[in-house]
This record gives sequence, C-alpha cells and structure tokens, in this order.
Amino acid sequence: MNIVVCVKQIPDPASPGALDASTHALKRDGKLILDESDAYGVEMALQLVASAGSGEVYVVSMAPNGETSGMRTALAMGAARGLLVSDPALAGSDALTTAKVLAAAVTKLGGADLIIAGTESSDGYTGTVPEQIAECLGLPSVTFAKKVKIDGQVLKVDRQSETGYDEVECSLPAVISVTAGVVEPRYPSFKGIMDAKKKPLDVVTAGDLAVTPTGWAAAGQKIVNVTQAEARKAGTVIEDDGEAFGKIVAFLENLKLI
Amino acid sequence: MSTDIVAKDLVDAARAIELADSVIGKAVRTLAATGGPDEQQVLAYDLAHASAAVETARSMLDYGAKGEVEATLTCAFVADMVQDLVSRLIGREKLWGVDPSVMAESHDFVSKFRDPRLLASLADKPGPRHLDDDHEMVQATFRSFATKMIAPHAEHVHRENLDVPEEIISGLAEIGAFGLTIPGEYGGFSEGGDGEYMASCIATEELSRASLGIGGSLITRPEILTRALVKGGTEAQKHEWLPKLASAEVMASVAVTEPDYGSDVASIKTTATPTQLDGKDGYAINGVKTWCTFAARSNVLMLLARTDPDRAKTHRGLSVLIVPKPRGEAHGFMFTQPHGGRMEGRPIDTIGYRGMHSYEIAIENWWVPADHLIGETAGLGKGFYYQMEGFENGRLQTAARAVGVMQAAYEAAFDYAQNRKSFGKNIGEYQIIRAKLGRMAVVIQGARQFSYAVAKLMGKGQGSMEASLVKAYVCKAAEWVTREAMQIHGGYGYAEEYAVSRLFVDARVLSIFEGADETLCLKVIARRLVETTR
Ligand SMILES: Cc1cc2nc3c(=O)[nH]c(=O)nc-3n(C[C@H](O)[C@H](O)[C@H](O)COP(=O)(O)OP(=O)(O)OC[C@H]3O[C@@H](n4cnc5c(N)ncnc54)[C@H](O)[C@@H]3O)c2cc1C
Ligand SMILES: Cc1cc2nc3c(=O)[nH]c(=O)nc-3n(C[C@H](O)[C@H](O)[C@H](O)COP(=O)(O)OP(=O)(O)OC[C@H]3O[C@@H](n4cnc5c(N)ncnc54)[C@H](O)[C@@H]3O)c2cc1C
Repeated sequence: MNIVVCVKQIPDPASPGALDASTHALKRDGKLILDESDAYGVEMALQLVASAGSGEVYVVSMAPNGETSGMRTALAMGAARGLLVSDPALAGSDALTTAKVLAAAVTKLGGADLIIAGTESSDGYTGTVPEQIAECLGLPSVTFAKKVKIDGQVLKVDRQSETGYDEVECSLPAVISVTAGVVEPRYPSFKGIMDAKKKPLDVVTAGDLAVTPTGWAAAGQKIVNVTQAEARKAGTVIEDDGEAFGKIVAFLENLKLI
Repeated sequence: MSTDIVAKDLVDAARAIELADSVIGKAVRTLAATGGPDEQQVLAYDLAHASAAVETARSMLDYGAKGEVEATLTCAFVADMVQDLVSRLIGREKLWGVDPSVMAESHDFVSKFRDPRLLASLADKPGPRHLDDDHEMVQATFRSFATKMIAPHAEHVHRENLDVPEEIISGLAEIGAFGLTIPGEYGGFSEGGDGEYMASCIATEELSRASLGIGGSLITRPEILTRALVKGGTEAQKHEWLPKLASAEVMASVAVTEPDYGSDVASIKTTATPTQLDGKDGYAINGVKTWCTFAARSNVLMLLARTDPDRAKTHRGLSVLIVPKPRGEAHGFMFTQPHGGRMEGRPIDTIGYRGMHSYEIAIENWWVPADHLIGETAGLGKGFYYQMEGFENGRLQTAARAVGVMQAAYEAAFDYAQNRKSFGKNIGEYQIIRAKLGRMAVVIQGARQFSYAVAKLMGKGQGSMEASLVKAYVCKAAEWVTREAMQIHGGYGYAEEYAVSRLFVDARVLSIFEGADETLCLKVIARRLVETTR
C-alpha cells in the first residue's frame, strides 16, 4: 500500500501575508510551512499504511525557491520520501498547471495506490486541485472524505455532505481529498525530526517532468485587481430579558449551525 | 545604522567585555587574598553575578555579528552589563582592589547603548533566534504542542491548585521529550552530538512559555536522574532505568532537600543502611525529605542518603538510590511495605509553580534492593558527585525554563501595551514603556543565546561552570522581566485573571531552587573563579 500525499507549503498564517504589487500574487519569499490542511492528509496516510501493514507514504509538493521546510515536517511525522517541483518558470501557475505538475510528480515517483490531498489549501483555497490531479492521471476521485477505509482493492469513504455523509465506494488507485479535522495529526517526534534529514527529498523542475506550458503563460486567468474585503457589519445585540437563549438558538438554527 | 558602524560597535562591545573581565579578574585576586568567598560573601556574590553577566555578553558577540538588530541587541546587553558591574563596584573600590576608571574607556560606547531612545527602539525587536532547520522544527513542534495541550490548562491548574493533566505527560512522552539526552542504545534519542542539549533547551523554553508548573518543569527531573545514571550507573542500571525514563513509564522526583538541610546538601541526615530482606541484599531508608516536587505522581524518588554512618565523612558518605513507590494522591499519601516500611507525604502549599506539588516525606524503614543504589558498590560514597552532575544539567534546564517564562511575560506585556490607552494614547507609545520592553527584549535574547552556548558546551561534556553562570543570571533576570511585565499591566497585572500575575509568582521560585542564588554564587561560582584566576 503506497500512498502519495500532496502537501502545499505556505507562508506562516501567523504572520501577516502580503501581495506582490504588480502580479497581485501572494508573496512567498520567506520560509514556508506545511499547510495544516495537508497535515491531516499526511496523518491519514500514515494510519492507512500502518493498518495495511506494509508500504510507504511519499509526499509531493510544488513551491518556489527550492523550499522544503514544510515537506521536512511531513518527513519528520513519518513520510518516507519527498519530491519537490520548484522552478522559476512555474511562477504564476494556476490551479490546473499545479495539478498537472503534481500529477507528473506522482507518476515520477512510480504512481501510488492512493493519492491524498486536502479539500482546499489555507492560502489559495480554490479547492480544485485534487479533482484536476485525478483527471490528469485518469483516476476516480472522491472529495470531502471524512473517514477512509481500505478493504482489499476497494476504497470505502464516508463523504461529508450538507446534511450528514454519504457512504461511497470506489476502486483503487484513486485520488481523495480529506476534510480538516478528520484525524488528529501527530506531532513530529524528536526522533522523527532527527531521522527526517536522512530521508530522500529530491528537487526537480517542470522541465524534468516535461510539463509545458507553465506559469503566467499557461494560466487561463489573470488577476486584474485586488480590493479590500467589505468591512464586517456590526453584530446583533440581544438584551437578556430572561428569554435570550431562545433568540440565540433561533439565530444559530438560521445559520444551520445547530 | 550602516554596517560599518555596527562592526565598529561590536569591536567596542568586545573591548568593554575585555575590560569588565579584567576588572573581575583583579577583584577575584583581591577576594582570594582577603579571605575568599566564605569571608567576603558580598564581594564574592557580586563578582559571581558580574561574571555571569560578562559571560552572557561574551556569548552574544557571535549573535551580534548576524545582523543589525542582532548587533544592537548585543551592544545594548553589553552596555547593561557594564552599568551593572560599575554600580556593584561604586563605593567598594578598596574591597575589590579595582580602580573604576579602568572602565572609562567604554564610556562613550555605554552612553550610546544605554540611551533610552535606543532601548525604546528595541521594544518590538526581540531579534531572531538563528536556529538551524532541525532546531527550528523542534521549536515549532513544541510551540504547537504547548499552545494546544498546555496553555489551555495553565491558568486553571494554577488558580485551582490542580494536578498536571495526564495527557500532557503522555503527549510529551510520544514526542520524545523525556529522552532527548538519553543515548540511543538506552531507548533515548541522543546521538551524542551537541544538538540534544540544544533541543532540550529549545523544547523547555517553549513548554515553559505556556506554563512553568505543568510544562517545562516536567523535563527537569528525568534530566537530572538521566545525567546521574549516565555518569555513575552500572550497565544493567542504565538498561533498566533509562528506557523507562525516556518513555515516561517511570516519572522521577528528586529527594535531596531535608527540613534542616537545603543549601548545605553535604550535611543531610537521611540514612540508607544495608539490610537484608527475605535473604536479599538491600538498604533500609530512614529520614525526612522535604520540597520533593511531584512526589505523589512520580514512580521513583531519586534519593540522596547517607550510606556511611561516619558523619565526619560529610559529602563522601552519601549515595544516590532509586526508590520505587506507588503513585499517590496529590493532597497527601501514605504507603506501607509488607515488612513494615512506611512513606508518608504531606503537600506544601505554594504561591506559584503549581501543578506538580511539592511534599515533605517522612520515610521509615523503606526497603530497596541493593541494585537500586546508583553505581552499586562502586557508587557508595559517590552520591554527592552524581547528584551534582545531575544538578548541572538541571541548572541549564532551569535557565531555559526562565527564558520561557520571560518570553511569555514579554509577549503579554507587549500585547497589553498595544491595547491599553492612558492619557489618550496607547501606553505602548510612551517612551518609558517602550524602554522597559526594549530592555526585556535585550535581556531575554542574551539569556537565550547564552543558554544555547552552554547547551553546546554540555553536549561536549564541558560547561559545568557555565551552567551555574547561566542559571544565576537568567533566573534573576526573570524576576525583573516578570515584575516589569506586571507593572505594564497596571492594576490588572495584580489580578489573578491576567496570566502575568502567574508568571510573576512562578518566576520567583527560579532563584530559590536548583541551587539557591546566594549559595550557587558563593559555593560554586565564586569558588571556581578563585580557583581558576591566579
Ligand atoms: C497568481 C498565482 C501565482 C502563483 N505563483 C506560484 C509560484 O510562484 N510558484 C509556485 O510553486 N506556485 C505558484 N502558484 C500556484 C499556487 O501556489 C497553488 O499551488 C495553486 O494555485 C493551487 O491552488 P489552491 O491553493 O487554491 O489549491 P486547492 O485546490 O485549494 O488545494 C487543495 C489541495 O491540493 C493540494 N495542493 C494545492 N497546491 C499544491 C502545491 N503547490 N503543492 C502540493 N500540493 C498542493 C493540497 O493537498 C491542497 O490541500 C501561483 C498561483 C497563482 C494563482
Ligand atoms: C517550589 C520548590 C520546589 C523544590 N523542589 C525540590 C525538589 O524536587 N527536590 C529537592 O530536593 N529540593 C527541592 N526544593 C528545595 C530547594 O532546592 C531548596 O529550597 C534550596 O536548596 C534552598 O534550601 P533551603 O530552602 O533549605 O534554604 P537554606 O539553605 O536554609 O537557605 C536560606 C537562605 O540562606 C542562604 N544561604 C544558605 N547558606 C548560605 C551560606 N553559607 N552563606 C550565605 N547564604 C546562605 C540561601 O541562599 C537562602 O537565601 C524545592 C524548593 C521549592 C521552593
């Protein structure tokens, strides 16, 4: 059972992000960290491989400047090897190019029984990359997976829906996207951190994977303008006249939160 | 500031350190000639602290070369150290045998870097840590663990005087926090480089930033016992105990202090007497220990006892025993052994450092097998040395704990200052508040960088003097930093509902335990200064 996890490396959400004034793209020149959305995928992969009893977890990523910090976190958690695609020619790549690159990276690693991605990344959140990877590789895809089991050659997924979840089955190999919070990602252990630096982590270019065209040239889209989000409206104040709880319940029901 | 000026400032800083060092050297020779640390306690104490500040400053020079903010923090630290030295010296020149004009050469440098405007400009520039990739990951991991697992409990445990939540212990064990300095062949993660002591420092700072009582201090006891076992344990003992310490299957507490003997460890009275039980060799322990932290929850006591009945042998009559015990209730415990051995623990209520609880323990005829004495027969009479070896590690670890508490205090004060208005302005805009925050940034980074330097030395099997220096300097600094952080909070700082009040009472213990400040300065640091300055 070999699993490849797509891990996006993003600027630390704790420090304020900045946009490039000319391209309107997110600046990614500093240190990048493992997107928390993908830590769930790594954890799920490690658990699935452990319960299968054999196999490895690999991670693939596309990021500028040869950045591997976030991938090293995944290796420290227990992934066995990594493949990074980093290439100045990829600057400005849209989600489809990203998917093509990641699909090629998976193929370069020799394919996998299962490919796991996050439902959406924390910084770009188009939520489209996983299905596009599936299409590029000609594989079935299941999105919004909240529980995953492998039964021989059958993948069984509880797929989050608005009202509950659907039980879905599909054949392997496949691509799934997992929702946040499905598993509790482990902390890298001290031993894991020490071992991570000995694990193979290869860096290739888009050219090495024969993906063309890339970057702004390939993007079927252009960021024309970026404007401030609308300021948050003042909240509603409920005076407690002894019946306030009813109004709060109604408010939450209205938002479909309860 | 241009880089040329920065480079020149660093040269001036190095010169100021050299001058300060020569002042201390001279005064130490006077100390030696006028009766030594036991006679001239105040002089010896001042020299110990001055020396700790000088060594901290020295360890910062490399850091200062890494960039402009780093250089400014370094120079401000050096200027602070010179001011401290001179104020200790003034009016006591004869006692020191030093002419204070020696420091005049550094006057312009000190003026530049004690300028309140310069300090104020550092309020929001705590400086990067400059860790390598692995250590950055260690920091990120422990920060994330501490934020999710420890911080949410910190206030509650403190205010209700509750116990350390078990999931913190098991979580830390999973990450490997208890095996950082345990060699790989004994179930730990140490590969013998200098990286492990660094990692332990970094982890401890992050855990203590969330809580001293239920975070960073959990590592201290296993570290002390580990070091003693690595130093004096037989092969069989290392194989028996180290893997269990690494996995937290065995949690330890340290039973050294007695009601009548705290700093004066060599005089302790608790005895371990060779006694057979059911035909097996062993020791029967009798005596009273106090301040034994974590003694209810722990599975073993690392107990220092007199194995030689000849009290004239003082520290050469002591041995360290590993004393297994059941887990007990936090509010007090009483255990018995089938043959009649007894152990009774009474908790001591404290103003801070809550969660692990400290106990006075009365021990009567408590029996342990002979192989529980560290080093077995070869370890008889060597307990004091093994214990001190362990405490060295404990001192570095305690310095790292202090850095974590200071960091938390600085962050709390900084945030508060940005959001509290007085006379129409955020207090964070007033010079005096900014200068306080700036000095905090300087002191914390200095403390941190020195603890890293000591960690690297300890990884090489050196650094015993430096571990005492870093403990003395950093723990005292933590009192000032938490005091000022509380002050910046005004009245709210005195309210229990603000975390800074906890940081203030927690910081207070740091100069008392792991070597009371005065004793550490007089009996360890000043003595060593006299020995090494001829
Ligand atoms: C204007 C612009 C400029 C860009 N510049 C660059 C650049 O200079 N260099 C560069 O490398 N990329 C660049 N990108 C690509 C970008 O960073 C994203 O990878 C891509 O657009 C995916 O979009 P998303 O984050 O919305 O993915 P989503 O569909 O929201 O992500 C879902 C999941 O897909 C996987 N995934 C997504 N992206 C990656 C990735 N990059 N690596 C691994 N897994 C991934 C993760 O598992 C993630 O959880 C640029 C994109 C745009 C729009
Ligand atoms: C919260 C807490 C937890 C602790 N945990 C532990 C633990 O787990 N295990 C353990 O064994 N101990 C523990 N201790 C005990 C601690 O190590 C002792 O309190 C410390 O060693 C000081 O001893 P003492 O309290 O007897 O003070 P004393 O030794 O009586 O000292 C009192 C004062 O006199 C000063 N002094 C002492 N001797 C001299 C001298 N010769 N010249 C000048 N001044 C002197 C001291 O510096 C101090 O200021 C703990 C203490 C506290 C407060």
